Amino acid sequence: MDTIKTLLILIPALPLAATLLTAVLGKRVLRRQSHWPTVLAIGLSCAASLVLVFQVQQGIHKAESEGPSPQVGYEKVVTLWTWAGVDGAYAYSTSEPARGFRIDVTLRADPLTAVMLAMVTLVSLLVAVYSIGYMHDDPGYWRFFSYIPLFVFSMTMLVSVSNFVLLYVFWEAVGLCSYLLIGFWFQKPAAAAAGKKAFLVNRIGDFGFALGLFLLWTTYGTLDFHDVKLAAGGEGTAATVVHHETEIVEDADQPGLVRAGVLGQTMLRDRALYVTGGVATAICLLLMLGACGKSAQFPLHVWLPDAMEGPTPVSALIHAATMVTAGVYMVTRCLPLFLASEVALQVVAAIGGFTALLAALTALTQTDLKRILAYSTISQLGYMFLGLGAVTLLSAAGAVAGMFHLFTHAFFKALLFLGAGSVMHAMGGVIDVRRFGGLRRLMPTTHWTFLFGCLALAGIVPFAGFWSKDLILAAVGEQAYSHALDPQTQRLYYLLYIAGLLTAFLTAFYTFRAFFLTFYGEERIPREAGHHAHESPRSMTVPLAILAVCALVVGAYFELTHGFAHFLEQAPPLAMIAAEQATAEAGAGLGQSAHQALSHWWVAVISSLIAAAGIALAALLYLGHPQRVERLTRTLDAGGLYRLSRGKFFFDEIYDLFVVRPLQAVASLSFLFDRTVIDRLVDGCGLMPKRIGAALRPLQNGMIQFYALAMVLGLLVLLGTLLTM
Amino acid sequence: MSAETVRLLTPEIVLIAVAVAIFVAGAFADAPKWFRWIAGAGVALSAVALWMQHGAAVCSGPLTIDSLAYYGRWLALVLGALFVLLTARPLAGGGTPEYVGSLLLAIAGLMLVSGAGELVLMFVGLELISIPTYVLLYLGRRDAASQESAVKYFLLSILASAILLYGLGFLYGTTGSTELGEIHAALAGSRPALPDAGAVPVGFDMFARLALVLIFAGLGFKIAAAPFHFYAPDVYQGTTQANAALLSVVPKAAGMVALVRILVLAMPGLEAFAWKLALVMAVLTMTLGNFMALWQNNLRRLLAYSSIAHAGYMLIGLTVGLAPAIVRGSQDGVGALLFYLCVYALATVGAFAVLEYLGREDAPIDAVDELAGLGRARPLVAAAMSVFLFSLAGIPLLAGFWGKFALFLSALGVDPGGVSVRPWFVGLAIVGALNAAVAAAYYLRIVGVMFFRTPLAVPKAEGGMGPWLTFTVCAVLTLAIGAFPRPLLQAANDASRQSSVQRAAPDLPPVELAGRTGP
Amino acid sequence: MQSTVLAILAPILLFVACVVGLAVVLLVMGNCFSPGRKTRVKRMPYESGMDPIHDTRRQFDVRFHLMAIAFLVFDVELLFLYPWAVTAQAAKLAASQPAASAVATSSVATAAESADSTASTNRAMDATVAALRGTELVENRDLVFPGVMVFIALLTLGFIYDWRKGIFRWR
Repeated sequence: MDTIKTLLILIPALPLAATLLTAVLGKRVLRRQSHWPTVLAIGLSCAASLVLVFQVQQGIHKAESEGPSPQVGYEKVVTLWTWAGVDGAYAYSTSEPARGFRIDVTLRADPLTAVMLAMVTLVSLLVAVYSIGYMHDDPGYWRFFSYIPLFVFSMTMLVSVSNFVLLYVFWEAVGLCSYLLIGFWFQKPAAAAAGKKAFLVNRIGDFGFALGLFLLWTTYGTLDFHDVKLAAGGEGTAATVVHHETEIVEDADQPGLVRAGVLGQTMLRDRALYVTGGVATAICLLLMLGACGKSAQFPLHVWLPDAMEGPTPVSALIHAATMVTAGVYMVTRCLPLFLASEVALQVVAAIGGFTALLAALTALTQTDLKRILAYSTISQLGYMFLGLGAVTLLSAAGAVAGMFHLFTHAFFKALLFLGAGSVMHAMGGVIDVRRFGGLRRLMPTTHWTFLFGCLALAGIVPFAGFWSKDLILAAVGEQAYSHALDPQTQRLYYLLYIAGLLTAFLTAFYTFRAFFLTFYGEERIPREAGHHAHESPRSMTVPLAILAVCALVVGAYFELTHGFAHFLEQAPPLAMIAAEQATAEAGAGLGQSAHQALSHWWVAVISSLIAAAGIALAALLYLGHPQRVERLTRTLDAGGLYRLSRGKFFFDEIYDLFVVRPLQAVASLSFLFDRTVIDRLVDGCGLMPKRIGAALRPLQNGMIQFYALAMVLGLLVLLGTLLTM
Repeated sequence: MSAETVRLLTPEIVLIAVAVAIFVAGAFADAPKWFRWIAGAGVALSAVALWMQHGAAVCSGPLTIDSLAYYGRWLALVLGALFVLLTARPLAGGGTPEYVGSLLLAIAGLMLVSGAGELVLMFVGLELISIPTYVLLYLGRRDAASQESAVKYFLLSILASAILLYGLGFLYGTTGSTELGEIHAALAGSRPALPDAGAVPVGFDMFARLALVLIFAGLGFKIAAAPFHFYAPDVYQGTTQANAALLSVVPKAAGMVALVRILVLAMPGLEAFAWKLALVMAVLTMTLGNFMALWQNNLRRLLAYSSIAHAGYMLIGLTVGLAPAIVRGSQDGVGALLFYLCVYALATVGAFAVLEYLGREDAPIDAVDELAGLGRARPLVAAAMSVFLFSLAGIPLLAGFWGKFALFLSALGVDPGGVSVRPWFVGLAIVGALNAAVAAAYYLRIVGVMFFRTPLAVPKAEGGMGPWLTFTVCAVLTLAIGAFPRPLLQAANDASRQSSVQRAAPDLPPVELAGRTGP
Repeated sequence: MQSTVLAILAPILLFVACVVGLAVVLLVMGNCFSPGRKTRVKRMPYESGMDPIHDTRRQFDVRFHLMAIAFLVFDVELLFLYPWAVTAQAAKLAASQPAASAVATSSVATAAESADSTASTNRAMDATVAALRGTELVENRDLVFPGVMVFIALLTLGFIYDWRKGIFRWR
């Protein structure tokens, strides 16, 4: 057991243990102390994740110091046990030997996983601590603290497994946790309905994801990310897979004995092995459908705002910082597949850009503080996909930017949500921004930390959001610039670039609209608040403060030191691009860096100005006289624009009309058909034996003479068969 | 006959001696409670004797003591012990010693059939089951219905015995011997059948076939296969629970073992004809039994049809055993039959024991409705009954499931090389599976009545300790075999495989033929 | 092929044919040559000199049956003792005589020596002895006597049982 293996096991195992412990003991023994196992386990997990990051860092340094190697990026794969294995499960054609199907429980350590693990466990830890105060008098206290580590377990597994099947399993597992936690207050009809909605909408995405996996399997014959070392016997004999920890580097000189994983070294080294054309596009679009469901992208974004019915820490953890980013993680992980299809990448970018703008427009007019934040989450996730869609074979900048935004966003969005939770806590559960105001004196800590979050979200120097958002915009701009030869594509990326800038303006505006409405103006406190109207307890404000510091520094620190980018670029999918880039640059002999640096500066300046403009407009409208807002609203409403935004572009209504109703009609029809036709048929079949039995009953008449006669007749019939044979 | 033969027969001799002692003692002493203990001791003693003589397969005189014989004899002794427990209560109208003695004789008969390697001994063994059974049926209950059922069984059983004997006569006439080994040799053509002719003359297989049909018919009565099943529902309904249990298990076991011994092991060259016969009988029997059972409200009548249906399932194994297979599947047909016999016997005896336990001496449980609400009134008893019914229905993880699984697997595994025959066996398995589905309906109906209906009147449960112990043991064994089917299945397959060695190499008897020193 | 079967079965078939033929011939002859007068007395079911009292289909007392069964058991089963006695003696003889010496000469010799026995009995016994020579029965002849003793003992026990149960008492 080396360190990395131990860490990879410990990180998910500790929360799982906490779940079991709390689930068993919570109700009767732990009760008000139910948070201890959770906090301790996630704390240790977090520490382990940080150690893992350093271990991976060391591994990269070691590899670099050893000079060039055929290894693409850094990865270490640990096989724990075999979950399922079927020999000769599948054959392409009759000419080929059957392939074995085998699912190993395999964990991996690479920069991408390490970053995700560190982010997830850190945010989870802070949210868990925050929840101690937030949930303190809830009757479901122990239940809450058994769900949270279950989620952490699922999420950490999701980002560390090295197999699509297990990815799918934990993809579903986090969905389940999300469902359980949205409906945590299942007594509330709205919460129950929201949980159901989230689950159903996610099923649509998961359906696509599953189809994508099937297609992957039939195309590549494996669902492993990594290469698997085969013992003698080669392909088709799954049982011969060497069953222990495998480090792929060592196998590189024995290519004949390796079964190439979908994202494994063999494929990364030789990109020609990837299928292109329609199949590649289909795989990617199906995977993207899954990502759209999980990460709330258009057209499957409708569940996330409703999911705010759950407890606020859950909104912060699952529906802002971690779970919803699973889609982004998955697409990043699968970039080699997406790179095989230009169409797919453009679709990713288009969906991202469109969703970002759409959600930002919707957020402008919402009055529920948490829903504003929810739409902003959708919008920011759109940014991330926009970044991922701006990846080419020659530049991983978009992906790095997207992941970086994911990373920074996790901190400041968690901060904002927890701040909103703090407000909600003090206001006695009221979350409508129209019903309170001027809270800055009442809740100073919340006010300041919330301001930090807002600045980060708006993208103001030097807060975290600024750096990551600029990187994405720069990458998209770069993409538009580099497609000079293809006017159609260029137009698309220019459009997306403009959409990104517009979104930046809108983001700054609606963020500060919410901020001003909540903390400025005259002090108004709703009746429900009662004696709660004061600053939140220490267990809530300390995580807020920590997150606020993070929101201030993580962006600047990692960007200025280039630490994040350098680290992440060693992740195999990105390292593959880096390698291609190096080859291309060596061939072309011209550096693009000068141009890049220049465009970066321009983007930074423009987006900062735009964000500042947004804030200024918000200040103008919401710090000044209320009549100004009303006048503006009335003007806009003349064109129906205000109502459109207010009504969330009526997606729920459209889906209801065009999807839900027709489905209901079909369902009623098939119910009728089932009742009248199928059931009758089945009942008929079921009755047949009884009918036949009834027909035979007279034979059993109790007359012994008849019985004897029947025996003799039977014997004669049997004897009669003698003549025929 | 030799000293060796007598030694090998010790277990049977012990049982018969104890039975005779009980008869005679019963004429002198009126101590009905003691006879159960003596009978129990007799069974135990017999088991010890059987345990002591375990060893290599031996042919001695009319006996063939191979693994099939051991399997059958152990099954007989286990059943004997269960029946002694089940009938532990002295009979109200007297006759306890006769009842117990007859029981032991029937068990001894089953053991004798298991070890018989010769037609006369086999017939004697079968009669040693039948004749005491008439007495048991008479003694069980003394009302008109019971007498009617006893007479019905008596008359039809005699008819069946006559048919069987006729068949055995033809077999002897065709091959010139009553010893199964020599019959096998004669039919296989390696031994002259008659002094003047060579082997069995060509054209004489007609008579061998005739013998086969008659033997099948005669034994078909014992196993209650259609169309020789008619007695079963009437007789079961008229008699006591314990007698019904005995009828549904002991003659069936004897009939199955005899069928295997004669048809599968001793009549080579006739398989092509025999498997078709067995297949038709199997399909007919299980379908008829299951379809008729759907209508029954009387529990014993229902279980009678169920026992007919199970005979049909077991005939699947026989069919496969007779099949002209080049490649047989992983599961042996006869082995599956023997395994099924055991799990069926446990579940059936257990179910009747539950009924015996619940009923009163003067008012036995008759109708399905009388079990209503048992799940609430006596949850443990209801649970045990459910175990038996589920096992009979073949619900997974109970012994009955593995039995059906083995049977169907064996049928699916038959591969005679040519295409023309295989569909029949696949069809047989499918029909079996469909039948199992139909059967589930009436088994589950009883379970439903027990658990989902409000009780009419709580059963008195005056059966006492004996039936309680019986069904507890049966339930535990059914669950245990369900959890670990391998040992018993292994034993059954060994019993089948080691016996069929003789069939595979008729000229070279694989076992030491002690005592047989003829020319 | 059919001919083989026919050849073996020929005597039986001839016998059956003769039996059937004879029966038919006799019936036909009787029908042809008898006077065939139908008087009242001739048409009565019982014409052995007794007037019929009642229908033949009536219930008998079960004690008749019991008696009949007891008779069957003890009388008919004792008939087994005759073949047993013959075989037991033959087995003893077969064991005492030198088995391997030529059967033909010995039979002549024994026929000459045993002048006191009647010739026919001797021949039958000789044939039995010759058939038994070397068989299991001869080798295990020590068991022959105990075996039949067990048989008689069982019958005796049955007799005691019946007596005790009052079978022989006509109540």
